[in-house]
Amino acid sequence: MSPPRGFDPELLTAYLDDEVNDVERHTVDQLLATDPSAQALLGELAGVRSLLRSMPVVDPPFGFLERLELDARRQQRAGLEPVPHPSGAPRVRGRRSVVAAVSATAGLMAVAIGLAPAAAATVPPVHSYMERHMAMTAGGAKAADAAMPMAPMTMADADAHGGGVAMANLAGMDRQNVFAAHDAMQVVYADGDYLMSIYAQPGTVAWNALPPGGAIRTVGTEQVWEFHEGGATLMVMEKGTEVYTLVGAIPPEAVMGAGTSLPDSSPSLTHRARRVAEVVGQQFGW
Amino acid sequence: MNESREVDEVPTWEDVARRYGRFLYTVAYRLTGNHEEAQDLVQEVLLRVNRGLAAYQPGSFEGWLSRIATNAFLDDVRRKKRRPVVALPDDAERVLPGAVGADEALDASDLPDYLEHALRGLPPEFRVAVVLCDVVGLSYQEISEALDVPVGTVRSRIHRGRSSLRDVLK
Repeated sequence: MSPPRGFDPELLTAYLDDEVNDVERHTVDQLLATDPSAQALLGELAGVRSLLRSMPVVDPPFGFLERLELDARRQQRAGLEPVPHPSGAPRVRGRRSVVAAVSATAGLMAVAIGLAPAAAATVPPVHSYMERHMAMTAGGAKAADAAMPMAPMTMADADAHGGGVAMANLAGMDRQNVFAAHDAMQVVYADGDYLMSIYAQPGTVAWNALPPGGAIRTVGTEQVWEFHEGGATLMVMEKGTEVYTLVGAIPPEAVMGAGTSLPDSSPSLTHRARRVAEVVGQQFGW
Repeated sequence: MNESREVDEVPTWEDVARRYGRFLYTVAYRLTGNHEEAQDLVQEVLLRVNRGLAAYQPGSFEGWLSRIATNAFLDDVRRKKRRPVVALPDDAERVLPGAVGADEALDASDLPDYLEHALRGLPPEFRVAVVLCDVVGLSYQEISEALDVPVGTVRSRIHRGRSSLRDVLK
């Protein structure tokens, strides 16, 4: 299908886009009135144009935008530019992929082992927990360590020393990884679509000292502090003498469902936390 | 996606990531044709945005972002062209991976439709012009300014791009 000799076919494209002047429009109108091949060509180009314009918005991989936002916020706070990841960009894992294989970084060696006093009122570092979880979702363990370093634990150590929080399955989600630092543990669960982190540390919640932006509410008999950021939900709750912080880019009710299925802490919690730190410390020669 | 919005106030960098992240990603994906390079491109664009936010003049913010994205994309295309081609070793079969990884398999299952394949096959200059016109919705004049080429060149690239797509899709 080709227009007559001497006619510039680019005019048909410009005509479709209403990017012609009056003279050009008149020329095209005249041609279309008399030339079936020009009409056919215009129809084909219009079809391609229409197809292109109906292409859908592309959804980025799960967690990518949240990671960008976190990066921007963090760097803006620090007055810095974002630092490209070694590979050039955050390597965002697909929703169905398993959490990246964990790796200890040199920075972890600097993590001191200090245990909080048992049952002391504590304020969990909610923003750091949130950033670590979101970074892990978007970029794997290394990205998570850049946000907040924690050392990986083997599942055997988690089973032996992690207690209830490190249970293999929780509210329909499977345990993927366990990390520890200081007196806190992070257990990462996945259900094939979403990741959720549960951070556990000994103590009770200093409710009045939690940072602004969240709200305390009561669900059944549970008191929780709820906070939302970048599409993720974070909840702080207290069970006996253990503080749990749950984070996930999942509906609040799903987070709450996981929280209510967590066990109350056992009397040996402090011992367990100390043991976790010892195990991790031995593993990395601290 | 085809209507660019006028922005009177300069958004913060965080706003850009939050409010325009999906838009940017779509443009990046249409330009690069794959998720991995789209992520690289979005991050590069945000770096450039951060440097240029102070100089932003109120107007079509999406147009401004698109201009940065296309320039970053074309810079990358030129950079890749300059890279020397590394010959495969004699025992290439031994060193080449035999199976795709999980992420690649996921991408493969996510393969875009025939139109996306065809768009991906266009020369970069044509693809950029078509994406700016049909995905972003810029006028020829805006594309001309974004790419720093005459309007006639824009018209030609869009026509040749769409014509190539028509030929492929026939």
